[in-house]
Formats: sequence, structure tokens, C-alpha cells
Amino acid sequence: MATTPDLQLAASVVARLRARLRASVFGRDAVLDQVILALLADGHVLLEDYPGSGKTTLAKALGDSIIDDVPDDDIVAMRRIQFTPDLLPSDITGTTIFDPDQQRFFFRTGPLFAHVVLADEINRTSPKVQSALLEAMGEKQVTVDNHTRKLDELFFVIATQNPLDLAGTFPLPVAQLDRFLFKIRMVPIHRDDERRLLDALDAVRRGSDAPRVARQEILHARQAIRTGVLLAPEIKDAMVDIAQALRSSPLVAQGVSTRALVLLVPALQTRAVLQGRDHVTDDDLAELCTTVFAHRIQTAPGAPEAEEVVRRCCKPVIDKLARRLLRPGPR
Amino acid sequence: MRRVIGLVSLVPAAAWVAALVWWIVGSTLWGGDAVVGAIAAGVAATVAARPLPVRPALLPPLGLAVALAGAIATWILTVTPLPALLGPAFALTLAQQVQAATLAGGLTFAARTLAQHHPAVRAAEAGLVALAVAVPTAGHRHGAWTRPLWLTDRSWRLGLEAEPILLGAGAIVGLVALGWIALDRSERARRALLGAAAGLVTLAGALVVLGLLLTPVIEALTDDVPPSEEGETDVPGDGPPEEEGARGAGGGEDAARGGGEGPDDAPDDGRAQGGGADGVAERERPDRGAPADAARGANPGPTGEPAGGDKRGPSGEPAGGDKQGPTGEPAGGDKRGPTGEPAGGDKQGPTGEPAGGDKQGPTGEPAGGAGGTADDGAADGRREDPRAPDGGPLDAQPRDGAGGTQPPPDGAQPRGAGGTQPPPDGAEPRGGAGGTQPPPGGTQPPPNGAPPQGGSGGGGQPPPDAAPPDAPPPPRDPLDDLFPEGRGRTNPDPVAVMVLHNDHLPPDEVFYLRQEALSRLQGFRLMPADLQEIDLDLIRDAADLHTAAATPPPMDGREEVEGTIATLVEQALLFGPDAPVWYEPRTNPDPDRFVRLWAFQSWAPILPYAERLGDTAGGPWSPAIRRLYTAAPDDPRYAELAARLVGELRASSQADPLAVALAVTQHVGDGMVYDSSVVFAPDTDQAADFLFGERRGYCVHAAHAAVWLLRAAGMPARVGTGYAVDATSQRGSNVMIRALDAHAWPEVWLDGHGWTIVDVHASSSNDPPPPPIDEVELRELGERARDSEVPDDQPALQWPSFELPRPNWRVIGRVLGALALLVLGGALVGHWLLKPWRRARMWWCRDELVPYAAYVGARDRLAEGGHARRPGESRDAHARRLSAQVPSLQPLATLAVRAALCGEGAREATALARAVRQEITRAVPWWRRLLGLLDPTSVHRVT
Repeated sequence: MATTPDLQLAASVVARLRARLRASVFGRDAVLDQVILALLADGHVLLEDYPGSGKTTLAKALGDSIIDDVPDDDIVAMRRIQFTPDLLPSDITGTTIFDPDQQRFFFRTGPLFAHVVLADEINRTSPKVQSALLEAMGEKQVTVDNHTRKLDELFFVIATQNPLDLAGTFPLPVAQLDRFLFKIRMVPIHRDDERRLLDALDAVRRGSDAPRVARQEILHARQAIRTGVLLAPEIKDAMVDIAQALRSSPLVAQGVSTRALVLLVPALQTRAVLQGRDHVTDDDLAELCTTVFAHRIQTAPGAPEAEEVVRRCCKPVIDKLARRLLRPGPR
Repeated sequence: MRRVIGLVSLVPAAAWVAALVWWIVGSTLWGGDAVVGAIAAGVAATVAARPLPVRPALLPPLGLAVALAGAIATWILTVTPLPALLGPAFALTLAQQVQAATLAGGLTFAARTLAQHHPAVRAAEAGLVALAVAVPTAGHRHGAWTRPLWLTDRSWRLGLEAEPILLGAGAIVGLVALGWIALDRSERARRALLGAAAGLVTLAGALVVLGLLLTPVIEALTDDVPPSEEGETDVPGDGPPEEEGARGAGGGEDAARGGGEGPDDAPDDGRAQGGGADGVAERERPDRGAPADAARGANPGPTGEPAGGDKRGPSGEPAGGDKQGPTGEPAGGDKRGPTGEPAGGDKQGPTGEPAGGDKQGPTGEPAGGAGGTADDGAADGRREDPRAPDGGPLDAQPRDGAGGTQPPPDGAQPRGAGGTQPPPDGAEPRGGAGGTQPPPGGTQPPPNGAPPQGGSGGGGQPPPDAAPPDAPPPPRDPLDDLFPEGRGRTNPDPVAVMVLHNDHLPPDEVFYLRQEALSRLQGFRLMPADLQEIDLDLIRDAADLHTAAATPPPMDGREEVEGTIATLVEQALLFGPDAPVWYEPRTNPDPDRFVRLWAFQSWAPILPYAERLGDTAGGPWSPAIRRLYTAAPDDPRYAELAARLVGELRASSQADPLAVALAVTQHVGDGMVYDSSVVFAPDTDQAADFLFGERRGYCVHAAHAAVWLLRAAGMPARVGTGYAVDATSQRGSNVMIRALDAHAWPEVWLDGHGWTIVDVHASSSNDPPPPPIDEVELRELGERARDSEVPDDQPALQWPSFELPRPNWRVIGRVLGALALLVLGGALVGHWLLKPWRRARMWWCRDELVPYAAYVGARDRLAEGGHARRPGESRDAHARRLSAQVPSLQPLATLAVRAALCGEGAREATALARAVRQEITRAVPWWRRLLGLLDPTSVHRVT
């Protein structure tokens, strides 16, 4: 249903990414969609999962799916950083090194200079490193020795943290969680999928040979989605209403930021494309509200889980929106 | 929501407080409290409605509840000791004001809230404003519109006027709405304004139509709740009570008649007699009727002169002989002389015994007559008389067989005997008439005729006969096309009681209580004239005040009679003995029994006809009005017959209007068989059918026939309607007026005496005589009616004494019940109509609306099947949830939402809608769908 050629390109990007990722990661179609969504919406993803659940596989598959069409720069398709307490910011951003031969300093790029960065166990490192990463995520740039360097335009972070083993960690404060578009809680995959995975191990290791996506195509798709997908005023009204509801709800200690709404806009548009539409509907909003807002609020003592709170606050707004959307014509 | 409830509950309270404050401030302005209540409610509604989603469905019950609250407030005031504490006047005012304020508040609140949420409903609000403007212009007296009597009565009885309430509510609503529109210049406001204007026009039209349609219903509804038990029995008699009562009376006749007479010969007899008598008359005419002498003899007769001494003189015909007797003088003088027939009959009838007896008297004799002259009967066959065919020959046969022998005579005799004298007398003359008309008849009259005066005075008048049969004088429709059989023509239920303050006995012993006069020719019938300068002797709009006739009749030959009349059923018009000159309201000493009381003064004629002869019929009118009074159907037979009748008079009497009138009525009554069950073809001149036909009919036909003849003779005449009460219904100064007394009679104009009643007296009657009056009841009613007083000084509001108005709970209950039923039924039907509308709409709506309409239809079906969207569920999510059973819903929902968002329509929606329908059919069992279809609430469950 995507009407313009640009949107059709975006849809094809989505389709190719989906096909490649699904060939590598089994039983996580919803998560894959969310990752693709975040990628196209120019957001970042925080995965909450136990080790060995396929996070790295996912990130790798994603990196493999992207063709680096500017091979001359120092930026690679994918990097993985294992965060540890003794990590230093320069370990991830890169550092200046003296070259005795040439008698001068030169900058050696860190692992952030990649299209897809997998930041493993992000809560195990010191806040200093975390904030270095967060600056990179927010601004797409790193500052080393007072010199700011641009990261790639297609800079996508998949961070993970273990929800259970919290000893000796530095949990991310809410303000920092705000920079992630999604916090995805992964659940063990279905038995059948697990069994299917064992059957297909070889294929998975080999990697998919489905068509890949050029970096430029992704950037292009981002642009097309931002301009080509209709975001009706009613939807914007509803977004604001939900934010208000969350802020005023007695169940919420701290509501969502305006940045959350700003990030939500491309996410909504992207989801519409993922659903094969060229316009955002109430369904997109209902679907994204929980994943986008849940990790951004602090619930009041005694309140139910954040997701439940968000769902409750959204309910009347979504309901009203659904009614308003029904009747066509000038409003 | 809690806030809504809180605010809503505040409204009546606010209205109460406002009303109290208003009262304390000391304003006596009637509408003030309503305005205050409306202001409070309007403000509250405007404030409350804006931020809160009040469902319009809640409003009708809310309105009802508020109205009920007002009624309950009054009730509390009536039951609680408040009046005793505060004084009745205070309590009364308080009750009124509280009621008015609450009702106005409720109205305003409902209108405002509705309009706040649905600009389209602004039409209803506009309608309220229109109503508020329109209602005060209606009044029973000087309003721009005629206001139905029941409304006035109702307000009077409930002590609640609709005007200030509507006025207050409407004014506030209008102001608020206007202000809103003035302040809000958006497109929405403009559309609302347009909608309101359109709604106003539509509503005005609807109101008119509804009013026309509903008025009879409401009248029926409110009327059959009579205030008294007596009233109850005459249920039919209210709206136009006389009409009902009178007409109703007709029914029982046949049965009664059957009982009265020998069941076997009854019908035959009656008819035979008619035939026989007429035949005789006809025959006679050529012989002697034509001759001047005979005619002459006749004239005096009717006029009441001694000349009448000659029996047939009066009528000129034999049959006429006795007939006239009654009408003229002689017969009258002697009860039984004329009574042979009707007169005697009725006399007795009332007393109650040989009701059958008198009936037969007449019927019997003719039989006798016919029988006696079987030949005659046979001979009759030759007459050209239209009746002859059936009456003559047909009857002749049986007659010969049966009649030839005793039966008839027997019948006559025994009956007569039972009846008292008359029968024998009657039998004789009749027999004579039958056998040899002239001689016997002739013989008889003389004796009777002897006391001419007395005769005229006594009017042994068969009128009673004819009269009591109470012809229905339907006030609006004189010649009722379809005269319903049965229904109370013999209804002896009292409709009113008259208490005379002076000693008065009308000359012919019949009280003619005139209620209305029919003067204007319309088609083949007379209708009440509605011009201002016509029939000025009538008092039509007597309401609360002393009301006098514009032009009372000349006092000459009349005496002043005063009295009080108390009605037991509602009456459209007041009435009084001929001729009433003023009415005045009286207090109602017994509201449970009496509906209305008024005093009257009448100038009643006391002179016998004989002394009123020699008058002229010029009339004080303009030529146009005179034309109106002399307009008759365009039928040459009338002029012909009239000319002949006039020609038969003495030359000196031919110009005498009263003599002509008497001759005419005599002719009409002659051979007339009073029969209230007669049905004529509609839309024809029923009077002609009656007069030139079989001569069976009732008072309305006779009166019209007489009036047509008189008018054909160039004399102003009209039909009077009301009650003709025989003096036998009088006990002391109390006169009982019963439903069966309803009557219509011809009237002729005499310059010296005004409108003079010249009644037609039928030769015989198929109707049973009226039962005797209930003397105990009459005495009781009379005593109660006597307790009435002159109301203290004609107040605009007439509160009976200083009691609180007594709410009629039955009426309120019925009205509210009917209203509730109406609302419920309307809602139900509306809900059901909504379903097919929503479903079918996609076939004709605009292209861009197709997906929407298709989706809405599918959504409705889903809700009926129990698959409504859940709260908080997006449309896609809803469709996804149902994707297993109704896979087509998803694309349809997407399409609809897309069309709504992007404004793009797609025809494929219809196809998808069809697919959805089929899928639902598969997914939901048929019984579940049927249940859902019948469930009106599913309309609200779709979201």
C-alpha cells in the first residue's frame, strides 16, 4: 500500500532485512521487527536478556545485512563491545596514538566507528563509559582530545543488559534509558523454534545468502519514511494526550519526556511502513506506546509494572482516537 | 462522571433555591420563578456539559425525572402540614413557583445539554424556543390561536400554566444559544445555526401536524378520566359530549324497540303505519288538501286557533289530524288525543311504566288501521308515494294476513290500556284514520282541539316523543354520515342538572336548552356560522367571566328565568334554556362530581304559538347575512313542496312566518318514523333522502328538512342543537338533563320574538321511550349544585375555595406513562431503524464515505454477534483479534481508517463489507445473530 516509490524502496528494505534476520534468528520475529523499526527510525535498542539468547547473532546478522558502500573510510559494518568495569571511554571511542615513525599523533578509531554496534552488558561498565556511549548515541559523534569526530550516519546501537545478575553493576538511570528508543525484554523462544534452530545450525553459521541492503538504501528509506508517511493531527493529539495522562497519573512518579515523543514520531511512521501502510493509525500508537514509554517512566510506589501502567493510561486515549478516526471528512 | 452526577443533582436544588429567593424578594410576577429556574439550569447545563461526556440517551429519563420532581414537590406540599403552617395562599404560591421552576429548569437543562453535545440537536432546542414563543400567543379567549379547551381546563385544575414555564425555558435557552453562536465564529457554530434554523422550520411543521394528530388522542386520554363517577359512565360523552351522548343513545333503540313492542310485528307495524298514514295523507291531498277550505281548516289548526276544531283541519290530512293535534293545539290540549301516538307515549314513557305501551300505541294503531282496511293497504299500492313500494304493498300483505285479524287491534288495545288513556284514544283515531281516515280522525280532534290554547301550551306535543328520542345534535357534523348504531342513544346517564331559581314551565312543557345553532350552509348540511355577526344571540365563548349575549332576543312575550346548571361531563359549550342571555361561572362545590357550574339567565318564551302569529320575518340583517340564513341546497323539490305547503294555507296566513313554519314542521313530522338507526348514503342531501324518501330518520334529518323547506319558502331559519328536556324530568326546581335528551330542532326567525323554536314531532318512533329519571340522584345532585356560590370576584385564576390544587394523579400517571412509553417505544424503534440504516448506507452515500459506511455496517454486525471492539483496542487490533473468524475485517478496517485519515475512498470497501458479512454469517451462529439483531443496545455497544 505504500504508494510512493520512496516508500516502496523503504518497504523493500524492510523486507530484505527481515528475510536475512529471520534466516539467522529463530522465533523472535517480533523482536526482529522492532530492531528493524529502530534501525529505520534512527533509534537505538536496549535488549534485556540472559546470555546466550542470540543477541550477538542478531547484531551480527544485522551488520552482515548491510553493505558498506563507502569502504574507504574506517567505519566497518559491525562491532561488538563487551562492557566491563575497567573499561575506559577511550576504549570505545578511540584514542590518539603517537607514531614515532612519523613523529606525530594520529587518531585510532574505537569500536563505535561502525554501522551496527553491539554494546554487551552495558550496565557492567562505569558511568563514565556509559555516558561516552550515550553521547555517541545521542549526537552521532565522539569527542576525543577536544576533537569532535562524526560517527557514521547509520549508527545503530544494540545494547544489552542482564536483568537478573545485578551484582557489581551500574544500572542505567532513567535519564539515560531515555536515549534508547526501545527497551525490549526478550523471552525464551518457543520450543518449536528452538528445535528448528538445532536443525538449521549449519545454515545459520553459513549465514544467509538473501539479498543485502546497502547503507545508502537505509539512509534513503529513513528519509522517505520521515517525509512520506502521513501522521494525522489526531494521532499527534493522541500522543500528547498520552504523555499528559502519563504525567498526571497517580501511578507514575516521573512521566515521559518530550524527547520520547520526538523519538516516537519516526517510530510510528516506520511501524506504519512495516505494516504496509503509508499512514500512521491508532494501531501503531497503541502498539508502540508500551515499548517506547514503559522504560521511560518511573512508577510510583505500589503501582503495577510500568508496562501495565502505560497500557492503562493509553487505553482511554486510544479508545477516543479510534472513534475519532472512524468518521472521514473535515475535522 | 461523579462530577456530572453531582452537578446534575445540583440543578433542581438550585432551581428550588432560586424559586424561594425569588419568592422572598417578593415578586408576584408569575413567570419569574420559571425564569430563575431556567437560568440556573441553563448555566448549570452549559457548565456541566462542556467538559463531560454526557450521553444524550440519559436525557429523556433525566427530563422525566425532573418533571416528576416538580410534581412530587407539589404533592409534598399538599400532603405535608405546610399549608397549615404557612397559610394556604402562601403554600399555593410556593407550590406553583416550585413546580414552575423545576419544570422550566428541567426543560432548559435537557435542551442545553443535548445541544452542547450534538449541535444537530440544537433543532430540538430551537423547537423549544419556538414553542415558548408560540404557546403564550395561544389563549382560550383572545389568543392568536385557539387553545384547546382541555388544556385550559387542565391548567385550571392542576393549577399549573404551561406558558410561563415554556416562556422561561425557551427564553433562556434561546439567549444562551444565541450567545454561544455570537461568541463562537467557527464553522461549527455556523453549521449549528443553520441546523437550528432548519430544525426550527421542520419542528414547527411537525408540531402543527402532531398537534392535529395528537389533540384527539390527548383529548380522549384526558377526557375519559372524568372527575366523578357519574362522569365515568358516560365516557363517550366528553369531548363534544352531547354529540357522543346523543349519538350513543341511538344504538339501543332497536333492541329496546323490539322489547317494547311485540317483537314480531314491531318492525312491520312501524313501517306499515308510516306507509298507511302517508298513503292516506297523500290520497287526501288531492281530495281536500288542495282545496282552500281544507287547507284553511288546517292552518288554523296548527296555528292553534279554534278553527283547528276541525280535526283534519290542521293537517289537512287525516293522519295529520292527529299529528297536528299535537303540534297545533288541540292535540296538545288533551294528552291522549294526540297521544294516540307519540305524545301520549312519551308522557307516559317517562313515568316509566308502559314504555312499550305507548310505543305500541302508535305502532299498534296504524296496524289496526291498516288491518282494518286491508283493502286500503292493498289499495295503497297504487300510490306513487316512494314509500309505498316497501311500506304499502309489502306491509299490506302481512297486514292482511295478520292485521286483517285481531293482532293489530289487540296490540293496540292492551298496550294502550297499559299506557293509560291515550292508547284507546289513539287506537281509535288511528283505527279510524286507517279505515276511514277523515271521519274518525276528524271526530277526535274536535274535542281535543276544543281548548286550543291549552293544547298549544301543553303541546301534548309528540315532541317529547320525537324529542326524547334525543336526536343527536352533533355540534360539528349535523348530518352524520355514518350514524353509529347503538352507543347510548338511550343512554339515560345524567349529563347535567339544572336548578331553576324561578318557577317556570315552558309553554310546551319541554325545556329547550340551546347550546349551538347551525346556520351556515356547507354542502348538504348546516354548520355553525363562524362569522362575527352571525347568530349573535348565542354565547359561545363563555369562560371565566360573566358573559352576555351580544344581541338578546326581544323581551316581548318572554319572562326572565334564572338558574344554575352543573355538568357532570365536560361540555364544549355552555347551554341554557331558550334563550340564554348571560352566563356566569359558579364555584364548584363538589369537584369530584361536577365538571363545571354556571348560572344563567334566560328570557324564555311564555306565549303559545297562537299568540305569536302574525309576525314578520324581515330580520335586522344585511342582505348577505339574510342570504346566509336562507341558503338551502339546490334541490327544486324543496321549493316545490314549500310552495305547495304555503299554498295550502289560508291566504291570510300565507305571509305569516310562524304559520308557515308550523305547517312545514307538521308536514315533516307527519308520517315520520323516528328512527335513530337510519343510515343514509354519505355525501348526499340526507335531509332530502329522508323527506322525499321513506321518512325514517331522526331529529337531525327532520330539523334539516324543515329548515330547507323554510328557507326554500324564503324564511330565515336555522337548526338549533342542545338538549330538549321534557318537563317530566323536572322535580321541584331540579331538572335532570340526560344524554338521551340531546336534540336538534328547527328555528325560525320572527321579528317580534327572535329565534323561535318550532320542533318537528314524528308521527311515531322506533326508539324506546326513555326510562324514568332517578329521583334520588336528581335530588342529591340538585342539592349539591345549589351549594355553588358566586366566585369571589372573577379572579383570573379560579381556585375553588382556598384549597391547594388537587393534582389528578391518574391523569398525571397516564400522561407520564404514555410519555414514558412513547419515549421508550420511540427509542426502541429508533434503535432498530438505525441498524438497517447503518448497514445499507454504503450503497448510496458519497464515495469518500463508502469505506466508512461499509466498516460501520460490519462493525454493527460484529457487535450483534458479540464481537464488539473492546475499550482501548485499536481498530486494527480489533480486526486482528477476529482475523481467524472474519479475515476480511482487517483490510476493511485498514481501508476505513485510511479513508478517514487520508480522505481517500475506495470502492473495494463494499466488496470487503460483503465478505465480512459472509464471514460473520459463518462465524456467528444464526440464533446469536438474531438475538443481536433484536437487541437494541448493541447499537451502543459498537465503539
